[in-house]
Amino acid sequence: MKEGEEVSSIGNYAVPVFLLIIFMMALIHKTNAFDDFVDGAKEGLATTVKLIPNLVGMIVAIKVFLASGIVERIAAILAPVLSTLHIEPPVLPLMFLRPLSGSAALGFTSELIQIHGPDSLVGRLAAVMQGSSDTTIYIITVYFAAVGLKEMKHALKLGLATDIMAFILAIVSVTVYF
Amino acid sequence: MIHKIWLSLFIVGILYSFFAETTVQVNQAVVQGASDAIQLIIYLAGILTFWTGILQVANRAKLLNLLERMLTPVIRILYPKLKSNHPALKYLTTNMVSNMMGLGSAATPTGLKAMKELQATNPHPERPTFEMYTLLVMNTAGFTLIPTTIIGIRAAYQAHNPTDVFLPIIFASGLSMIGGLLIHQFYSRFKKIHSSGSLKSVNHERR
Repeated sequence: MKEGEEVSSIGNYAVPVFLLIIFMMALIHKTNAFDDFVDGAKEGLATTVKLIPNLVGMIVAIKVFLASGIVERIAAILAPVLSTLHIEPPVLPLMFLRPLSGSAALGFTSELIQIHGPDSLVGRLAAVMQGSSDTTIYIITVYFAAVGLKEMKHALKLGLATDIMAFILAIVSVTVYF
Repeated sequence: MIHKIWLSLFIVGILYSFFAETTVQVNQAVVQGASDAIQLIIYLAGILTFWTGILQVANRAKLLNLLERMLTPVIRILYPKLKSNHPALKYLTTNMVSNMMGLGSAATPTGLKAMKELQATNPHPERPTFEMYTLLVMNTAGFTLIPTTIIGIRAAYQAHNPTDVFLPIIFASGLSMIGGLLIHQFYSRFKKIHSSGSLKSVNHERR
């Protein structure tokens, strides 16, 4: 694995350039940028505080699940399949949790990053899988329920196919990029 | 759904630990887990608070409006059958911008409004339309320009360079979104999925 600063020069520019564009826009439109920042930040902090009980509950459940050793057991059984598909065994549960629950997937990703380290293959794979897909089943349920539609079968197939592609692309991009 | 996942994680974990004799580790997970969680959240709170503040600056400085105007041609390609005055278009655009900026809390309400407008001109209200499937793929692909939460977690655990997953994430989510849209296009031609913007429905509304 190469050093982080060598492989990610474009990634290094993304955040500062993005910030610069926003601040230049604020200057051009003569908005009160600091007051706007404080307004938005208040909301962000409130959202994070609301998230605390969800994440504490989920992270403890995930820690118990992982500490039991069941993932290693299942991974050992599936080892031939997983190695042909180039799937790192520890990320297997994340692939099932990701479409189902946002807080469970976030908790799982942070656990994998903590256990294996943020710059390990597993840590990076978890980060990219978490970042490149969403809570598909939850979104479809909410969107369809809002307009009273019940025919979800095709939507689920489409959404889950997109997720599987995202996971495959995550494995490919992490392997190639790092 | 979430409560079942939560209970299963605990029940499966505890039962398996009796069998595998890992009760010591499970005990420690219960005792230690909660304070670990709080530590992570304290770290995340900083970066999330900062970014929602920055996004509010961007919003008031009309950056989101600018992005919406830039995305109009993309929206026309994604929803070719909707007339340019279809009420859903405005919400579809805002929804796309909110997702790109990582404003999940803003994306859901606009997405739901778009669904309602699409349903209003749905000639077969019991079946989803082409545009609804497109909207779902756009939302479930999780395409975001700056993945702040991931960067925050990586920073919390002392990553060498927390932002270095940026390009792989853009690559994986962007390509899977395009792949999903292509499958959707292909399937819709094959199965003749109807549109919210068909002439029939527009006439129906005028009457």
